Order: sequence, then C-alpha cells, then structure tokens
Amino acid sequence: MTHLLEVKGLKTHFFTEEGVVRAVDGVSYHVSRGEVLGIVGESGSGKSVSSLSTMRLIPEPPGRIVAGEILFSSKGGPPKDLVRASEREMQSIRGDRIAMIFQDPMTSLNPYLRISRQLTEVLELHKNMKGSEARARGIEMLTSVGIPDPSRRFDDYPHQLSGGMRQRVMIAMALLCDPELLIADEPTTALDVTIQAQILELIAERRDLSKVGVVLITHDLGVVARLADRVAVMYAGRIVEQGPAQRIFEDPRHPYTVGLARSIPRLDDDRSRRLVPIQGMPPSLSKLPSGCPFRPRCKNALPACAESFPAERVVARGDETRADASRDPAIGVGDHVVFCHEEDKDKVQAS
Amino acid sequence: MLAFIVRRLLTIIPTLFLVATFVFVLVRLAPGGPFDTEREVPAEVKAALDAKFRLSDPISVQYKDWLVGAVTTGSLGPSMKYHNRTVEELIGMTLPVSMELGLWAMLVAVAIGAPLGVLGAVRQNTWKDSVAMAAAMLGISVPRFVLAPLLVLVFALKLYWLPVARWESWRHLVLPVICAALPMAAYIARLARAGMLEVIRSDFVRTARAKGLSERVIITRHALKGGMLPVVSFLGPGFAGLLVGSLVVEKIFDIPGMGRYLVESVLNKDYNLTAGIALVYGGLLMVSNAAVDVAYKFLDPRVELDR
Repeated sequence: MTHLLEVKGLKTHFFTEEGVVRAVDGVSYHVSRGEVLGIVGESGSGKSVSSLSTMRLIPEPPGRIVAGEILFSSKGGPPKDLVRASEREMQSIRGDRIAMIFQDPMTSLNPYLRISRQLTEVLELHKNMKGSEARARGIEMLTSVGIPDPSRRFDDYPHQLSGGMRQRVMIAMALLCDPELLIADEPTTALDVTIQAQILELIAERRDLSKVGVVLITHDLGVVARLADRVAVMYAGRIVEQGPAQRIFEDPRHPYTVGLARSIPRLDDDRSRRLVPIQGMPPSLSKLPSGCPFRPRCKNALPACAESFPAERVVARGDETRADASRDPAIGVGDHVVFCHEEDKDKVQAS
Repeated sequence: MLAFIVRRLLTIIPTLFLVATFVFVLVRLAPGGPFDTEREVPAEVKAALDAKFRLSDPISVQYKDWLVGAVTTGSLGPSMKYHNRTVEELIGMTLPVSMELGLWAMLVAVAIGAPLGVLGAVRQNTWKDSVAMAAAMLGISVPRFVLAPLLVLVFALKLYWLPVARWESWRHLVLPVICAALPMAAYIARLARAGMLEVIRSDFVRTARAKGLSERVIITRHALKGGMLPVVSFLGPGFAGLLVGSLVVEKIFDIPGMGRYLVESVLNKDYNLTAGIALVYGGLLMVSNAAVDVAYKFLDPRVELDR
C-alpha cells in the first residue's frame, strides 16, 4: 500500500558563508490518510526545515534539497516526487492538496488584507470559485472551525481577532480546499493552554472527519501525546527514533528520547521525582561531530558511535505476523525503530 | 475619517504659529538691515524708509502688528526689496510654479524609484538588483548642481531636443523635472527595496506562498502595501524638501519659482519676504505630513485614528 506521503533520505542543506549547515541530514518518514505523525525535537533539530522542504518553501539560495525523495500520492494516484516537481506544479499542490499551518498566527496572516480576501483568494486560485460562492464557502469554513458570528468576522482584519481566533482562521484557510495532507508547524506554541487544547481538538476532528493526513511538528511532548498516532524524534537533522506514540512514551529506546521524557514534568508524577535535564548543548549544524550527533551528550556512548551513524534497528513490529525481523527486513507501518548502537534497553533506560 | 483629517489639520495651527514667531524674530536679530548699503544714505531717507516699514518700532509691536495682519487679512506685509509688491503677491506668483515643478518631480521620482526598488528586492542579489542599486547610489551621490549642467549639455546643447532654460511650454518642464526627480527617485528606490525585502521575508508572505499563489500575486497583493510604507512616510518631508531643494534647479533653469526668492530675500534682508516664504514652506511640510498620516490609514488597517 502506498502512503499519502513518504519522505526518503531527505537532505536539506544551507550553504552559508560559515559553511554548510546540514539542517536535515538524511530523514525518512511516512504519513497515511487519517493519521497524525508527530515530529518532535528541539529548536534547530530540522523539524521545520523538513516540512518546509515538503512544501518546497526552502529559501533558495542559501537552502537546497541535496538528496532524497518526497513522494506524495494524491487521491490514491501514483506517487509523485515533489523534489523534482516544477514550481508551477508545486503551486497547484500548495494550498490545495497540501496545506500548512504556521506557528505564530499573529504574524502569519497578512495584516494589510481582510480575512475575507485571504480566504477567498485560495478558492479563486484552486477551485475557480468567485464572488458570493467563494464568500459563502469561506464563511462556512469559519463556522466549522468554531468562529462565533462568522459572517460578521469575515470582513475583519486579522488584528481585530484574538490569537486563538487567528489560529482558527489559519486552520480554516488551510482546510478550504479539502487538502489530503496538513502540515502543522508548531500550531499551538504561541497560544495559551486552554486555546491550545481547543486547536488540537479541531485538528483531531479534521483527521477523523475528512481523513486528512497530518504532520504535526512540535517541541512539546504533551501536544504529541494528545494527538499523534505515531511519533518521530529528531535530533540535529536526523530522526533518532520512530514508532507508535504509545510505544515511544512507554518504552523509549534512544538515550535522547529517554532524556527528553525525563526532563518533562507530569501531573501524575511522584512529587519527590526531580526533573533531569539533558546535559550539554545541541551541536552546531555546520560542525557536526562524527558518527552519531548525540554522542557528545550521550551517557551510553560506545566506541562505535564515533565511527558511524547507527543503522535502523527494529525494536517492535507493528504487525504481529511479521514479528521475525531477521526474515523480513522491510520496515512496516507500525514498527518501532531506533537509530542507536546501544542495543541493551536496560542500559539506555537506566542511564 | 473626516473628523480625523480636520483634527489633524487643526494641530498644524499651533506649530505654524511657533514657526512664524521664530522666523519673524530670527531674521530681525541677524546683523544688518534691509536698507544698509555700502554708500552712506542720507539720514532723513533712512528715517523715512524705517518709518514706512515700521522698523523703528520695538520688535514686539512689529510682531504684534504683523501677526494681527496675517490672521485677520492674510497680509504678510510689503516686500522691502520689490517696491510696491506685497509678500502675498510674490508668493502667489511663484508658489504655483514651484508646486508644478515639485509635483511633477515627485510623480516622476515615484514612477522611477518604486518599480526599481521592488525589482531590486524581488531579484535580490542578481545582476538586476546590482544594476538598480548602483544606479540609485549614483543618483543619490550626484548633486543637482552637477546633474543640471550635464542634462543641459547633453539634451539641449548637443542633441537640441529640449530648451536650455526658462518656463514656457511643457518642453521647458522636462529637464528641470528630471533634474529635481532623479536624486529623489534614487532615494525612493533604496527605501522601496529595503521595505519590500523586509516584507518578503515576513511570515505572512510565507503563508501566501504556502497557499500556492504565484510570485506575481504574492508581490502585488501581499507584499506591496507593507513594502511601500517607508516610501509613503518619506513622501511628506520628501515633497517639502523637493520644494526647498529646488532652488538650485530654479536658478540653473531660470525658473521663476519660490526657492529663488527665498535665497534672494535672505541675502537682501527682505524681512517680510523671508518670513512669508518660510511660513509657506513650514505649512506645506506640515500639510504633507498630515497627508502621509491619512495615507497610512488607507494602507495599514492597524493604524488607529481615534486617539
């Protein structure tokens, strides 16, 4: 079965005066219809760049996709490699088949244009809708994302709305053309906690109702825990662990994922538990250490870690019938995989 | 909206009053007087002149009379150099000429500068950008008193396309307008480029790209309004500067505009004329700044007018 989106070996580098910044350095993941893939990682781990690469919105120069494929199967058709698509083809896909929600709704809407204009232009462009038909559809969309009194709000300017309302407008804008893939880049980071919950609810509802595939990018594990079906953990331009959300939280296998989980407070925590930070700083993306980029901060580092970036290792199969990993090396949909030389899970989790 | 415009114009009055006071006092404080000459003037002639122009009165009385005259009858007093001419007559003759030159120059400057700046921003770091910005740098660096003779030399004396000087037909307009416009166009090009670059890098332009809009729509619909704001705010003082700065152009092309009279009035110690013209310039600057404020409201919906 083909995935809605399959990213294979993606490398996006930025060629700056200080050297080559390897923002995304060999990343593979996939998303299916009606599924939310959470990509977590700290600032500068490459999660945003990988999603902007999918939209082909990397500023060029200095950025360039130097390797990999981004296969997008629209309407169950044959996969199309977006890396090799022309700008014209991309324009017909952007906003129509793949839509994007950005982090800061305060700056991501055009302050000089009415909301009505910003919504209807999408419909004019992709759906050939005009005038009152486009207006009606725009207002309908605002209604469905829970904007009160939408027909009056429709002709407002963005600054007349609150942050949460603006993010709803962004989501409405993204969903206007009924996209197959929705990329949400830190959609709740700029919002306060109660609004966060509502926005996540809205995205979950869309996934269930219209079977849209979602790539949810965030540094907030709480957001991922709420919404994601599967999780990919990124560090320094690489995915270091990937699998079903529940498994990643309950049985993390990469020292970085283990560290992340320990550095976050939980409501159900024993009060005496102390938060444990990950020591050190993420490496500069233009001066990556050899082998595994997490090695300088890793308590489990082995000699092999300086030699090479570890190969993909299947920890658990999503599909029981393929339980014997040695006989069937292909990676399946629900598999839990980790990229780490240390194979002893007790050592990793005890560190 | 209308209320705002009225209120905004009303705020001009106190400022204008201050400007009037300063110029009136300052021109009189400077050493020398309008009727001082190398030759000895008979005492009774000097006394008669001083009496005619009320120069023997204390400065406070002169000021009071001048102000009352200006407010009640719009009279700015007689010129001390041009006999039997009042200041308002001289301004009435020369201001339309200066305004015509200034408005055309501003129009040309925007028409050349803004597209050049947008081109530079959209094609940033390409040869088109480099050429546009090199031209702008040249335009800013070459002063008008160098540009004017060059234009005359090429287009009037070598090619015989346009007249050398004077203010008669539209053909007489071309060279002075270009001469006044080019340095301003260069400045506008740089402002427009900087403004557009900032907007092009902004989040909402990235959103516009993510919607699948073409580059042309992104620039014209999403970026242009915000990118032109620096240009718009420059146009107010820029226009006033153009009027004042046009005295070089007026002199070289022998145009009977107000700038020339301002310089001559200062040299002649023509107190009333200097004060009158300075007042007009001050008023124009304030009105054009008010116009910029109003234009801002149209361009940027976030600007609140009701304060």
